[in-house]
Amino acid sequence: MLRAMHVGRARALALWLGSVLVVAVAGAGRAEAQPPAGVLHPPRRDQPLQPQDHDAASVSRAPAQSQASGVATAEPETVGSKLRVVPRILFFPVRIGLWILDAPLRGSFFLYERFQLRERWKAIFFNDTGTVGLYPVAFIETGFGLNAGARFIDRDLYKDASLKMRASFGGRFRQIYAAKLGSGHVFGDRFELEIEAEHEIRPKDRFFGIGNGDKVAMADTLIDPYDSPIALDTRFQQKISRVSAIAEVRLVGPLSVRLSSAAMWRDFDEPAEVPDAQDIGANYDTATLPAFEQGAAYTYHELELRFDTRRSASRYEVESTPSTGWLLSGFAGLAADFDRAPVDYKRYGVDLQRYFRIGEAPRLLALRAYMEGVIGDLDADIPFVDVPRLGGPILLRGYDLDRFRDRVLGLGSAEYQWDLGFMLTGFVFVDAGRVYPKLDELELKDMRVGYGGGIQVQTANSFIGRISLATSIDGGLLFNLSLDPVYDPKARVERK
Amino acid sequence: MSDRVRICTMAAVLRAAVLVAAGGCASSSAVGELRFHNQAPIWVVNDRHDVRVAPEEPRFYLTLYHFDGVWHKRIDRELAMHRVQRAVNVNSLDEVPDSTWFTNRIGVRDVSLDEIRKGPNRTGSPEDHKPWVIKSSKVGGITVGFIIVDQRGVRYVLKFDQKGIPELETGADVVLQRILWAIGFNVPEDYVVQLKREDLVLAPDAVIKDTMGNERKLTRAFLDRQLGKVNIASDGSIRGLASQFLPGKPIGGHSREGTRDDDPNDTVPHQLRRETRGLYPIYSWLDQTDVKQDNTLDAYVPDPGNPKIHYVLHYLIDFGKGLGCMGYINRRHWIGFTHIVDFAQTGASIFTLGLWRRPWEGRHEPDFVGAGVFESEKYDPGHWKAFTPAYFPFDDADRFDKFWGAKILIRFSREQLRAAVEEGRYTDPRTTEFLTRTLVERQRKTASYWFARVNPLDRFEVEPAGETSQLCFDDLALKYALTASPTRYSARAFDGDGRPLAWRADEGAANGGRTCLHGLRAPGGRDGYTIVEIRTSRPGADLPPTRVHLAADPRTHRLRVIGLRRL
Repeated sequence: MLRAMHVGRARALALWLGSVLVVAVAGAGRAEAQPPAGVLHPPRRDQPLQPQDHDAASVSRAPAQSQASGVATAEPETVGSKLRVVPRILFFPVRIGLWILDAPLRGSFFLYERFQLRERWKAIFFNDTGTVGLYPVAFIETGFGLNAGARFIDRDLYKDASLKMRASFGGRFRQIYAAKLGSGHVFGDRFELEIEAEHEIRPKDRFFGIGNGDKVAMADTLIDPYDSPIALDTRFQQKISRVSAIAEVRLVGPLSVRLSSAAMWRDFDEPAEVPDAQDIGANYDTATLPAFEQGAAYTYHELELRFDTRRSASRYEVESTPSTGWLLSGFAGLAADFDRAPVDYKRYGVDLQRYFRIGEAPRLLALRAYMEGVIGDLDADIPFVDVPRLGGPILLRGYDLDRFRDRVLGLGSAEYQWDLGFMLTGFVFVDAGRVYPKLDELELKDMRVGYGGGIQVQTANSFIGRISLATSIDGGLLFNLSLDPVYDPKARVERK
Repeated sequence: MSDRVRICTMAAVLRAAVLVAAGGCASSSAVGELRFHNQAPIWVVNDRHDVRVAPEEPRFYLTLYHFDGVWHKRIDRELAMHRVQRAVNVNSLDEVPDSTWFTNRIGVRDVSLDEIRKGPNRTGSPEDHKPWVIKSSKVGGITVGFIIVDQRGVRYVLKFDQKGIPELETGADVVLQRILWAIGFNVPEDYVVQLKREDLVLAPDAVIKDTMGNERKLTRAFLDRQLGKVNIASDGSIRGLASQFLPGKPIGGHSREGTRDDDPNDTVPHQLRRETRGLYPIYSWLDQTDVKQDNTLDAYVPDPGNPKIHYVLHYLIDFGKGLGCMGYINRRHWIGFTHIVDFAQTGASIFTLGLWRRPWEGRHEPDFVGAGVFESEKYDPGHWKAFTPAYFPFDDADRFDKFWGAKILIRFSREQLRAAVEEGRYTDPRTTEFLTRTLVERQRKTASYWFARVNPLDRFEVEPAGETSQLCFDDLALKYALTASPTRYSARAFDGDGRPLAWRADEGAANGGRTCLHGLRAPGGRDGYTIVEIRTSRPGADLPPTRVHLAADPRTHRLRVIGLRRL
């Protein structure tokens, strides 16, 4: 029995030693050695007291601050100082007014920071890393009141590819639904792809007829815009559904190619909530407008070749406002229907821009020559909304949006920009252009000229917006707020 | 009211106004009414009384702070027509006594090169006590940072230079910290440190903190991601700035005006303090444009001699944007020349369509690692501007405050400045040379500017000269060779009642800048109270006089300086 006990003990000891060995070996085999315990738990101590030249004891007999001046008799207050009470009383109501006026803004800043609204917003609507978010949006749209909706964004799908979706509803006549997928650097640095699907109801797009005609107040009869250049300020409603893809390929250096394709469905109707006098159907014979009555369903493909050396000349000049370089761009596109009204046309154009840096900060002169045209049966196979157009905050400023439409357009622009300081750039411009019925009628006669100026807001890397005041040789004064850069407008497949 | 009554009322009001005006204008003395007690100037004040309850940390709302500073409170202050006042916490010599805000160092004594190199740093660099345990991420701010504890248990904020811009902020911070300490301000212990990835160890309870107080676990992946945003040398070394936590309880920065209600030692409105106002020329010299409440920090600390006593010490912190770093990082040449929102300059630019060449255009910076947009050629000491106009003491600072700051900063020798710059541990020796040279040039420009706006006489002393006395003083402009113009001093003396005495003096400046006016005798009566008014005459300079108040020391019966009034 004793022997059995000894054997049993020996076995137990062996087992115990073996388990210790196993644990030891297992510990040694771990990929990362743990730091000694003292590292993770350094000795706790109060933060060391900084040496001071004085302490409470050394200054205990020193006088109070109020006695430090040593002044026995002070200089009397001057008359000017005494008389300040008068303007102080006079300005008191102004101060009250200032407090009242600034209260909403100050209150907003206070609430924003006190309750950390930005962080709370992100915490509620975004993930921890801020790359995925679903959040509400709301804005007031002139003439239509509140437009509310939601946006979804995922900035980090895979290698900074992104997905953005938005939906907003402003009543029956103002809705936007869109989704955009961007490839980021999924395909490397040289190739970028964007796919977008969108549906939008645009209640009050503008139509001034076809041609370079002057605006008139009214016409006696319905006008065939392809026969008469009479321009009347009318509105129409448009529903657009579009699926588009834009691929940008950087070839070598500043040379790149942009391929864009879209399938579009357009439907037209009389405008929402405008006076009858502005109804397109009350002024123009809409039966003569290609695609107005049947709608259009067609594809558009375009190839654009770009040579772009535009850049800022110094690290101290914002990248969002290039100050030197060229843009040479040529494009050609093809449209063909697959349903509804016939669509069959080709589009072509060139865009030449040159930036001259004429001073530090910078001060620059941007020159632009832009030409665009369509080939096809203008009054049969080209939807009237696709006819090249001038007017608005981008092309031919100083005129209403889409003021002029015709087969060919030509535009020259000169803009002087100068730095105003933090995030601001001032600009003044002259735009001259007109539309033509044929390419071989391109001439400098009867040009429309708009001019004006404004202030642009930008960050170091992004354009934010512009406010401008513009007029033209034909009169009128237009105030404009634009969120699109003038010299880098959207691709033609994205235009509405 | 009848016409007669109306006329009588108006006449009475006019009579009263005339009396007030006459009362204000009339002075019984040619040297003003100001008189000092016959006592030695006060060089230390007691604002270290025990504060039983720790003051609350006030909430600081940055956007509101700047909005008020740029617009609302700025305009309100103008409309309030507040009295233009000189700094109120100065002693009888127009100097700042030592307090919890400021301790006179280089302004009153020599500071050795070793002291400059060491600054306030007594604990020793954490570099010698690795590895460091990361307790949490830094809260707030946009740059990478962690709260770490070294092997001694000392806590630091560990910050880094932005990627692609090595040595810039970490170097500037330490250089300014040394200089500001030598001037007399309370600053934290800051160290440039070198570390490697393996020197950073995560505490098991390490957390990421956000500004809402939320916490989540700080993982290795987060740490690696953050370190991916800083500069890492080819050998794996990382440069950082370790700023030691201040002792005691932090209670936020000092407000730009008023006092802290719950600190009974805080009795002087901050916008009326000489130290806060006199920071203007110092910060302009150092191009420390990032001036705002949260770049200061008050700490409720235990007294080093008796930890049962607590009071508030007032610190300056965060100097990484000085020496032109802010301009370099933000890619703005205008920093230091215009505020971020400067209606005047923007308006002028708009109306001239950009044809007006702004003062900062044409600035350049060298291509040395660690050097920011820091130069002396275009530097204008009188028109230097902080990034925002939100810090009101700078608005209220008068030429006397700026003179005070200038006469302290001019005391730094080239060697002392070089010693401070070397603490930035710049790898390129050209950077050290460039920063030192530019600091010297800006120093002299700053001092020249303010010494041309206040009679630059200082260090007045009465020395016995047989049966009479002589009043000696330094002309700082000559002492520091800021001018070589021929200089003369003319002086008159008055008794305590402001009656002129027979004594006059007219002396040329002595070599070395220290001049004595001879033959002073104390008048009879009233402790021999004498006021000596001294004018300095230099070609092209029309400086107001300085009045030196003298009285006989009751113990020695010798005349001594008891007060100073700069005009």
